[in-house]
Amino acid sequence: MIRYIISRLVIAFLLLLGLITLSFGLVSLLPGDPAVALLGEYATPADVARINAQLGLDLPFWERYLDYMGRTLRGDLGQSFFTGSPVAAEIWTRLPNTLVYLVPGLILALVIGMASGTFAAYKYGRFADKSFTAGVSVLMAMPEFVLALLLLFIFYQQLHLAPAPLGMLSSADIPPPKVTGAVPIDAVLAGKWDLVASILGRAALPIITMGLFFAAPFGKTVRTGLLQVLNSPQIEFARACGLRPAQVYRYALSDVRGSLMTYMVLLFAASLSGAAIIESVFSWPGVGGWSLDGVLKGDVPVIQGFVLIMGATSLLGYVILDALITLLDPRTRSNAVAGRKRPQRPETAAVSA
Amino acid sequence: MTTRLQVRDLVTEFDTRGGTVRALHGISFEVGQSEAVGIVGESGSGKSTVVRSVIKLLMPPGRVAGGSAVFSGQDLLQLRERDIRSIRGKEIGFIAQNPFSALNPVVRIEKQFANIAKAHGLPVDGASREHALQLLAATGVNEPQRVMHGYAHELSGGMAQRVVIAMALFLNPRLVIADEPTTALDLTVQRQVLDTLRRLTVDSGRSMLIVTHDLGVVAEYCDRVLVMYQGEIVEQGEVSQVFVDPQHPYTVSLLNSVVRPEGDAAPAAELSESWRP
Repeated sequence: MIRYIISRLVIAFLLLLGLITLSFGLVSLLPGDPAVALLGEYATPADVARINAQLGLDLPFWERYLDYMGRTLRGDLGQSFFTGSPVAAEIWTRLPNTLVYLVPGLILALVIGMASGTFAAYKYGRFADKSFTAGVSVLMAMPEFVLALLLLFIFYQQLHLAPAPLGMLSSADIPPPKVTGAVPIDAVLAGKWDLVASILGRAALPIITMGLFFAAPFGKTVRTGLLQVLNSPQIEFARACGLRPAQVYRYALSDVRGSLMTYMVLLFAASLSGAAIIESVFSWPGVGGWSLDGVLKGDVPVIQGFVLIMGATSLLGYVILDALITLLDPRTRSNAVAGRKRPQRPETAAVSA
Repeated sequence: MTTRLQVRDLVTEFDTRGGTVRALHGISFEVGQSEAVGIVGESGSGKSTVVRSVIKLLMPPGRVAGGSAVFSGQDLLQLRERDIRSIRGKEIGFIAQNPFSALNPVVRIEKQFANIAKAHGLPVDGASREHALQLLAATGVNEPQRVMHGYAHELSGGMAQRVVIAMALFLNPRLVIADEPTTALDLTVQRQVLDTLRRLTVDSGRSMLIVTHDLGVVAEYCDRVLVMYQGEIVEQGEVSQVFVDPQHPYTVSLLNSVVRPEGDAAPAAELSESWRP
C-alpha cells in the first residue's frame, strides 16, 4: 500500500514538473511583448532592452527555463510586472478569500445534486423526474454570470435580502489585525465573529450561485448513474434478498461511487476557473478576479502563478482521487497493494473520455 | 400434495411509447410442496417475466395488470412493497442468472450475508455466521471461511453461483425461484450446481421454480414443466408425460431441436401456422 502511494506521489511530482514547463512555455506562446506592454507603444528600443534585461528576458532560453524551474520549486513565483508585489504572497492572501465561498458552494452543489438526482432516479419517468430534467436543462444552459445576476436581481434588488455585491468586507467592517494576511483566517484567529458573520453574509450569493450552477451537472450524473445501477442484476438480487430500501440505496451508491468521485474532482477543477467570473460579478477579492485582471493586462507572472496554482490543485485532486478509487475497490486494491501490474483506471477514464 | 404457489390468470404489460404491449396473456400454474417446476421457452417468451411478476421485481415500464399469485394464503400481487419485501429472501429465495453481476463486488461476502439477516430484523451473531458457513459448505464451496472473508471477484463462476445459492437459502425459504441458474456457468460445473440445488431444495422439502431454456435441465431436475411461447403457457404437465408425448406443436419442435449425440435429430418440424397467435 505504501509502495503504491509513493508511486502515485512520484507520478504527481513528474506531472508537476510538466505543469511548470507548460506554464513557462505559456509566456512564449502569449501574444505581445511584456516590455512593450509595460512601457506602452512609444517606448524607445533602449528602454525595451533595459526592461528586458531587468526582467531577465534577454537570457538564453535554457537559462531562463532552469532559472524559472528552480525558483518555482522553491515557491518563488516572481513579481507582478505592474504592481511589483510578489505573486506567491498575493495568491496566499487571496486564495482563502476564494475558498470561503468556493468550498461551501461545492458542498452545497453536492448536497443538492445528490438529493435531487437520487429523487429523480427513484421517480424515473414520473412528474418529479421530468421537472428535474427540465430544471437541469435550464440551469445548464445558463452561464454562471447570468445565474449570478439573476440571483442578485431577486435577492438584492427585489427582496433586499442580500448585501450589495461590493466585495467581501463592507466599508463599515474593520479589517482584523494582520496575522496571516488572509482576512477570513485572521478574522477567525482574532475571534471577531461579527466580522466572520459579515463575510459569510456577503458570501451567501456566491455560494448559492456556485451551488446551483454545479448542482445541475452533478445531479444529472447522479441520476444517470443511479438509473443504470437500479436496473442492474446486482440491485435486482439485493431486492430479491429482501434488503431494505436504505440498504439497496447503499449498494447502488457503492457501485456509482467511483464515477461520482471523479465527477466531483472535475467539478472542483472547473469551479476554480469559474471563480474568475463569479468574483468579477461580486467584486470579490479572490484569486479569480485578480488573475482575470492579470490576463487582461498581460501580466505574465500573475498568469503563470494562477495557472500553476490551479493546475497543482487539480493535480493534487486527481492524485488523491486516483488513490482513493483504487484503494476503495477491492478488485483494484489487491493489485495495487501487491504491487503487481499497475491497475487500470476504468472509472476515471470512462468519465474524462 | 399441497400447493405452495398458485398463479392464476397472470397478465403483465409493458407501457411503451407505441402503446401497451402485453407480455403475459393470463398465465396459470401451480408449484406444489417439494416440487420442482421448470419453465422452458425461447428468449422473449416471457419466462423471466413470469417469475419477476410473481415476486414483484418487475421494473417500470413493466407492470402486472391482472391475476393473482397466492403464496401461503396471501396474494403476493396485492401486497404493498414493504410487505412483499419481508417475504423476499425469507419465504421466497431468488437465484440470479449471473453470480458476478448479482453479488456486490465491493462488499465482503460475510457482510452480504449479514445484510440479508439485518434486512429481516434477524440478529447478526456467531450463530448466523455459523449458519452461513454451513450453507456454503453444503453448497460445495471450498474453504468457506476464506470465501466469507473475501469478495466475489476472487471466486470462480461455479463457486460464486454456490455463494448465491447459499444466500438464497440463508433464511430457509419455502420456495426457491431460479432464473437460468446455470446459463452463465461452464458445462462441467452446471451439473454439479444443479445437483446441489436439487439436493438443497426439493430433497429438503422446499419447492423450486426454475426458469431455463435447457430441456436437459428440465428432464433431469424437474417434476413438472411449463412450456411457454409468446407469453402463454402452451403446454404443462409431468415432465415424463410432456417429453414422451408432447401435445403442442411448439413443444414438439422444441424437443426436436435438441441435438442428440447419435445424430438422428429429426428435422426441425415446421410450425404449423394454425396455432400462431
